[in-house]
Amino acid sequence: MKNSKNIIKDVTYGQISLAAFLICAITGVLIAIPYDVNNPLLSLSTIMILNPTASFIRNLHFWSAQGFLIFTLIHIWDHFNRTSDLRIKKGVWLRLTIGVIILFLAMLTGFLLKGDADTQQAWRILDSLINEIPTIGSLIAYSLLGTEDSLQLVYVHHIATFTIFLAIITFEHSRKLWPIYNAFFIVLLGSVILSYFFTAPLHDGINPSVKGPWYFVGFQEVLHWLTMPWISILIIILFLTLIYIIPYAGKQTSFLSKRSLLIITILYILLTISGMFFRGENWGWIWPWQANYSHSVMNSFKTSSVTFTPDFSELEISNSGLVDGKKESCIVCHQDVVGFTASHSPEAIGCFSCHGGNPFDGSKEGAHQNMILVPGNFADADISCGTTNCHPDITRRKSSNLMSNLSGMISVDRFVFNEQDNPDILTDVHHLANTAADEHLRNLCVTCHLDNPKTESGPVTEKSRGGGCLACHVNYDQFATTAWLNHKADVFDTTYLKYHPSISMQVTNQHCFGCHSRSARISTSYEGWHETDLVAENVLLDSNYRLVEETRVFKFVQEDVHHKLGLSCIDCHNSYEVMGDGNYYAHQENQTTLSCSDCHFDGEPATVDSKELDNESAKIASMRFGANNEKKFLVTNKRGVPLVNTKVRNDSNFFFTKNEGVEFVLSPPNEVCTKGNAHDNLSCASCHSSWAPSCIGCHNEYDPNERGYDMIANREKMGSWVEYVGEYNHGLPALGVRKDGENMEVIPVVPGMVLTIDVGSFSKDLHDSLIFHRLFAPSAPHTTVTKGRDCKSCHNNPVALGYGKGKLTFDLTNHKWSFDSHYQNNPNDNLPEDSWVGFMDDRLGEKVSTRSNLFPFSVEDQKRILTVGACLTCHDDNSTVAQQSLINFDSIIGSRSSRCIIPDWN
Amino acid sequence: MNKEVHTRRYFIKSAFIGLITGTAVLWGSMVGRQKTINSKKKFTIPYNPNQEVSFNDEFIVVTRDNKIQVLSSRCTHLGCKIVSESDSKLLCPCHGSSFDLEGNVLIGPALRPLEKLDFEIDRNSSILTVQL
Repeated sequence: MKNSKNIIKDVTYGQISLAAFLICAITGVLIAIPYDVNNPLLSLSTIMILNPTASFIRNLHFWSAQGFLIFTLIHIWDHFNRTSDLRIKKGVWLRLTIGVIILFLAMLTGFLLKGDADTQQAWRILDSLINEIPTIGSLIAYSLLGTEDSLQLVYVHHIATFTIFLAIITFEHSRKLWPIYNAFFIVLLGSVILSYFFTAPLHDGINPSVKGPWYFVGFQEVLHWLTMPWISILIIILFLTLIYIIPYAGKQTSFLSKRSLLIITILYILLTISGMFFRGENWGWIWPWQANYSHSVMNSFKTSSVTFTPDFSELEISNSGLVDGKKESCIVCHQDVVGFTASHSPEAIGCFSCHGGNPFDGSKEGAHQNMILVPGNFADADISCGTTNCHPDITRRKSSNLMSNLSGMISVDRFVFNEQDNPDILTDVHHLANTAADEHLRNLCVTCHLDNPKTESGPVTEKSRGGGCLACHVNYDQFATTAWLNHKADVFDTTYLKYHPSISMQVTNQHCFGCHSRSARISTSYEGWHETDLVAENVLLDSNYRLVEETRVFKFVQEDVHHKLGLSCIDCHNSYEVMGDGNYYAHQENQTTLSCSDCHFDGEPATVDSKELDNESAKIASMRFGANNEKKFLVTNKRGVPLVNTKVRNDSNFFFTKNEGVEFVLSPPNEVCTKGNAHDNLSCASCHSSWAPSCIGCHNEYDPNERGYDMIANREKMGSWVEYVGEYNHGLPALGVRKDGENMEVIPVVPGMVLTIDVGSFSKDLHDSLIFHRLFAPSAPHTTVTKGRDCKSCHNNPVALGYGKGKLTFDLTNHKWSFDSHYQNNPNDNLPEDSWVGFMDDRLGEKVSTRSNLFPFSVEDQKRILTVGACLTCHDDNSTVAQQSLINFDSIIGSRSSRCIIPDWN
Repeated sequence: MNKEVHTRRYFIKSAFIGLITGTAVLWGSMVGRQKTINSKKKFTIPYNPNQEVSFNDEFIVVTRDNKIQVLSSRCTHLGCKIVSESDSKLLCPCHGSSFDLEGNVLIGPALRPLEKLDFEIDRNSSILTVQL
């Protein structure tokens, strides 16, 4: 204790600041050797990564400078409280007062000399502020800062003008050039410790927040509130005046001045805290619990200790390249990594912009700190794929994407569980509660949302779910796959680090398959496969079957004609459909824009000129198919989205596959499709879907002893909803009517939710509560065939009409239609298991579908359809009568012969 | 004797003032000239008609309804470079000002709209030339 008292004996704040100044000056001279004012960022990043000694000296320079500033200010305040001892001439005191400003300028110019992302903004603010000084502002600003593209003058003033001025006034008022030994020792020790553990900052260029140095952040906050920045000049002058008058003013004035300075200082400290800890991107207010706080605010405090023995060899150092004009430590170790596309290669964007970490740390541990192993997950997409210079316009709209928020799936599930009256309410997978429906979703459904993070490297397989941007954009080539498999087999095999997967627009059907082979099973249907309830072992050698996820058995039925031609999912589904367009949609049919008639049309197509393309479409078009000059593209009828893989030329319309570039000439619809007006309201899929999968008789109940999974928390749990599958079927889909205001459209439908739910098994409050639903869902079967279904397959088919399988007969003797169902009636509603409606019924007023705008045919519709069906019992599809009925059915009926029998509906 | 002192003091004072004035005049003239030399800058960039907003160091190109506007990227508050756009708003990262795509102030502290810069466009070669 006594010894420590001896050490600080005679050590004043002035002595400490003088010692800090001396250390700062000496280290400044030393750091000038590796520092290059013409390439400040490159030279500093090189120093930080490759020259630990220089980095340590830079840290000493930085920390001693901070000490100099802090202790000089304390020293001034200390003197104010000892005014009686202050015997400084007015001229000297004036220069000392000016010295306060010079001190801040010396610090600020040091900040500017980093040459990083903050420098340009700070330079411009300083320039603008000085220009606010009347008459001579412009002259001083230019003389002090020079031009924006050179830091030469800033450097000169930092190392000479300001330093010399500070040295002169220091000597002038203290008559000392050297601090006492104890003060020097204390400051040196403190600086060394700080310099070893905390590397001086260098903005990484990714963090979107722009903040000045810590001592300027309070002033930045002041400037935020000042619409007229010249007021800040007055504040500075007032501040200096208060300092100047204190020693020479009367007691009362001096007291008031000191109190004013104290209040200003306290306010400034509060403003500094608010600016440092509560200001994020674009100087917006941000609370610590808000998303992105860590990245926007805490990233500014990111630092590491000095690594005196870097984890790389001299050879590796000399071979490492540059990233955006600076060194990154990542590519010193990770050299010669292959597999990248040009736009995502380390030469273009480095490693740090995707993987985070600390790009200026020379140690493996330090460089890997806070690293993102698998970038692109939505939790960190804003700081990887979505940073300002990359794809912020896309990541910004990620949550609007139905594949991210699952709004439709959740809303329908809650509707089916009778937890909401409307299946179209917008919601989000992040807002799941603990209700029976939401637990059901957690256990069985929501693993597929894009926001589900990909936590391990590896190629996308049929078992993959989620993964943010990488769900679609990562591809492992043969070498990367082999290396990754080898690493999986032997963790010590690190060859995989040399083979990076590519990040590209090469989105294959495999990327979609994992999620879309479930539920509506679009991916499997598109390829022609129908899921069965067969056991895998029984079909292993049969080529008519395939296994998905090792246990699910699919039987080949018929592939979609587009699949047969080699079209991928993304050939039809554009970027705004699959990545969202910023608007929130209730269901997938609302979000998708493409319809068959956008490519297969009669007459003049809707087109867009290349110059009128939106930027995203133009960029995709040019990257996939070369320059867009003078090209014309087709656009979707719905929302006018450009189809970038089409081309209109000389009255011909062309279509290209996106991944391979295979060209097709687009064909118009068959004549029968547009003949007459009888089928104007039929969607193309109503006729051209060859089959659709369906499932009936499912039962759901909660088993508290079942080992389950929470797909949101991604963890196993005890207790889960269990789904007991009824019967898998496939065949021509039923048809239903989608109403949109005055418009109506006949579309394919499937028995989406014909099921029972034992809600009482989940909630004891609802014991014995069994829900039964007979809800059909709109379907996009993706089993398109060139030749549409024949007339009878609709007009004489009980499945098409919604009655279900059975025998639909027109009795020529009593002129009546009758229906005999294949399935027995379900005791819950006395309708056949697979039917949507009873014969000549429309279930008006009941819950009938998973949409609020989807209905079975009305009784009147059924009568009209079956009237045609009655005709078709005698007349062929291609008969004159049948063909003419397409044009004017009522006229044909009116002029029928006496032999014709039309149904009697009484 | 007094007259001599007065004369000497007067001379030194006059010479000092003259020296200061002369230096200031030379300084002002030199800087003024140098600023003029350095201030004339011409930027030529490939023009992308498909990009509604594109950011450059000194200016922002906005294309809407086939109309091109070139705005200064300097925030009119304190000159910060505007580098991002969100929901058709140009955002200043330093003090939180925002502007619409016409350059008008939406949220302060900036008071004045962004400066509109003169430019030339060669439609054939899609080259945009901006004179600062």
